[in-house]
Amino acid sequence: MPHRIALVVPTFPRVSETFVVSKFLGLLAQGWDVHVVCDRSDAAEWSRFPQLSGVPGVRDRVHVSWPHRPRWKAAVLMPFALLRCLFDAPSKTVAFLVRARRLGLGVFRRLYLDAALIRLRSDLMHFEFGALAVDRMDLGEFLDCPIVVSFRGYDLNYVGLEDPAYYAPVWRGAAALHLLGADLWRRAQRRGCPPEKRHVLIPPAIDVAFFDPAGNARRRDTGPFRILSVGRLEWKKGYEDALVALRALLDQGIDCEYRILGDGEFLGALGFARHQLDIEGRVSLLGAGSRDDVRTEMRAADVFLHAAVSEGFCNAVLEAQAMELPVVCTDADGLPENVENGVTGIVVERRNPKALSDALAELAGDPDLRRRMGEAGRARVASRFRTEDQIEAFGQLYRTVLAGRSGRESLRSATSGASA
Amino acid sequence: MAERPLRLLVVGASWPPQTFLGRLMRGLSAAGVEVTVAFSRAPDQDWFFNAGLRAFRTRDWSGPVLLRVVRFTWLFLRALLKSPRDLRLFLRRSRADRGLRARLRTLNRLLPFAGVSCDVLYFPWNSAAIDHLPLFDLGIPVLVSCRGSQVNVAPYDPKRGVARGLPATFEKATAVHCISGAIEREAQRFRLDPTKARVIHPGIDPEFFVPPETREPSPVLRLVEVGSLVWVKGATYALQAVRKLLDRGIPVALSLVGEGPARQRILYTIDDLDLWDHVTLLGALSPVAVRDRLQQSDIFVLPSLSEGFCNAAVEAMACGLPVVMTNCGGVREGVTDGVEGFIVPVRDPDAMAAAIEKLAKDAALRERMARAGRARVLRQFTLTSHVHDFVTLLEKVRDCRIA
Repeated sequence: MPHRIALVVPTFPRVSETFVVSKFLGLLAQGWDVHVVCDRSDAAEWSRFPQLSGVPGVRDRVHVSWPHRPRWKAAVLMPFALLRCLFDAPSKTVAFLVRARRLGLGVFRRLYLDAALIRLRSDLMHFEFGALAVDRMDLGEFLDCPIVVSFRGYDLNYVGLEDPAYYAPVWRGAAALHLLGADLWRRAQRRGCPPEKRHVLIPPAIDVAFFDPAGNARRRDTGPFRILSVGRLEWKKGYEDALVALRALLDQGIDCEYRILGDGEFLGALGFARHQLDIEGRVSLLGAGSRDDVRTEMRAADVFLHAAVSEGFCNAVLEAQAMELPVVCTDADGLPENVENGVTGIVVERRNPKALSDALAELAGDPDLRRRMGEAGRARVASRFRTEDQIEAFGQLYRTVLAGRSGRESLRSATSGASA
Repeated sequence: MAERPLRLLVVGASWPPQTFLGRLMRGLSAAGVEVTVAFSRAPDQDWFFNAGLRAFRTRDWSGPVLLRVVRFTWLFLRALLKSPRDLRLFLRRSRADRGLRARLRTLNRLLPFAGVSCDVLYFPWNSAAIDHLPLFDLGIPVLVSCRGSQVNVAPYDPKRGVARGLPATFEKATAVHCISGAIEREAQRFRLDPTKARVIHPGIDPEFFVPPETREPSPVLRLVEVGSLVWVKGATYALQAVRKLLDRGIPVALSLVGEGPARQRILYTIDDLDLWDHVTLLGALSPVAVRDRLQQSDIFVLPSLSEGFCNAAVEAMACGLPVVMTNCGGVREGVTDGVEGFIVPVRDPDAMAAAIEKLAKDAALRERMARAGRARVLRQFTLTSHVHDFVTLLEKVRDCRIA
């Protein structure tokens, strides 16, 4: 009987978190009994993932929690949640109520919030974002189930910054941590994680078969220099610096255009910056797109720009490299581990529009360099960021954690950590 | 003033109102205007009633569905009794909304105003004017204020309908008040007729915002920024400037007064630039606490990307601070580069750091600019003259003597 893994995310599926979908499908294909537990699941987003509908019974593997707000609604639904738990997982539910009794009446609130996880009776829970896990680490004890926690960037960079002990429950309670790269592991330690904590570094991976440069439009030598960014419209992605850099390129007489694929709350700020810098005719804010749209845009672009101020690792940058696009990006967090400076792209200081425009100008004037960097990017991604390797690494992590549970005593001394 | 007091109805203020709006309301009331303010929350602070202001109750479209239905029915029946003509107008105009829900929401907003009686309707924000457009057809003269971001920022947000909504309000308004000449020019892009526009710069109370008796000397230069934590105020550019100054060995400390959604971004930037020991987030403060903070500071900085005028800078100038501002909106109507402070380009932390460095190294210059700033406020930006000009404008609007 395969082990049951619960992946906990806020929303599933979601274009900006395509990696969760790939991981879900990958683990499933490897024979794991994978389930997703989320707070939201929108029909519009499902339609953007045709690869999901090909899986039989996929909807039964996605568990959407009941609404937390308004509170009166949650209170009304609470008894039904309890009955459902008792029906689906009687012994687990009773054990939960007994172990969590120290919460007093709060135990019913917790049962309601985590009903999906209780009913699932999983062997291992994987919180895909640190911020999701921090208030729920006691679930490990209540459900007698090991917890793996991922840190992907924003959770370490912004959440609870003012509280030095914010993540202490995670450092204490997680069976293992997963981080996207060495930079995030350093940040975790800066925020109080003991260096001996069991952790693995598994970089994101992408579908290199899908992001295949074979269909690229023949690169033209005429027309404007086409710059592309893909990502949610958020301040941390540094789009304002990118727009200032574009203004500088135009001032240097370089004929260029900039397309941004993504949507988000920073749209107003970007609309304003575009107007203030007088580049409205040069910048297209395209809104959110599907994976196909991403590939189509990448096929037509000359360079991929990622001006981030902060970025865990960035899958779009991997996809761009897979598509043989040279990348200009900043040194924010994991990006220097993602792009090999001078080989697959140019890495510059963050918050420095001048450095961005210099790098872009260099590539604009040198099609040969663009081609060389593009090819090197494809080779790098195809050898180091493959989905199969990533899934295998997660499988290995889960096996280690689960083995640590079944033979607790014997393995405790033997397992010194699966650190990569 | 005419013999009967002018009856003004302010629509679109939130409770509690912004400091400057509260100041204006009190000033108008003291000048003999009968001011009524529409709020969806009942005012719960004494100053409001002590100033002779009256509240007019509107209702938010929120809360449990049943409550909404009951409230809506009550509003509807009341409107029917008070003014069937206005009710018909609102019903007709709400047809423009798509969907029943949007229509109910609009009606819920408009119904309390059926049969309303006043001499002038005043919208202190463009967004309020857009939301209440049918009120322009009640036959009451209307004044709209253009204060800043709703004219020079919001219209460029592709997802908001502000750019589409502005022209109709300008067309139907009796007069349009702009807080700066720059804002008037921006509003003209949205078809504001210049003959309807009146520029009245904001004013502050120079008896309240005063320089300290003595400014205590400090080993570090104390910078202060007052403004909500929103992207348009550009606080991260000030943080970058602070980093650059520290790197050049100039000891500075920055206090940020204000609260808002950009807090997380600011915290991250403080962390990323390693500024925890040099930057303090004070949160939103009362006017008294703002003044005290200004009095304990050396330089006022504001790296805004866009401004209507520069209220906060005027308060700082009144407290005897040189200011470092960015070149946007009406800033240059309040500050002259090199006289009361420095004006640097937007999005340019290097230029901001250079201006602060100049002031840091020259105490005499700071002193000179501080004096010039205070003198200019007394000359041009007092609350008394602001209220006086505003009353004159209101009387013209009432008598429809604008164009």
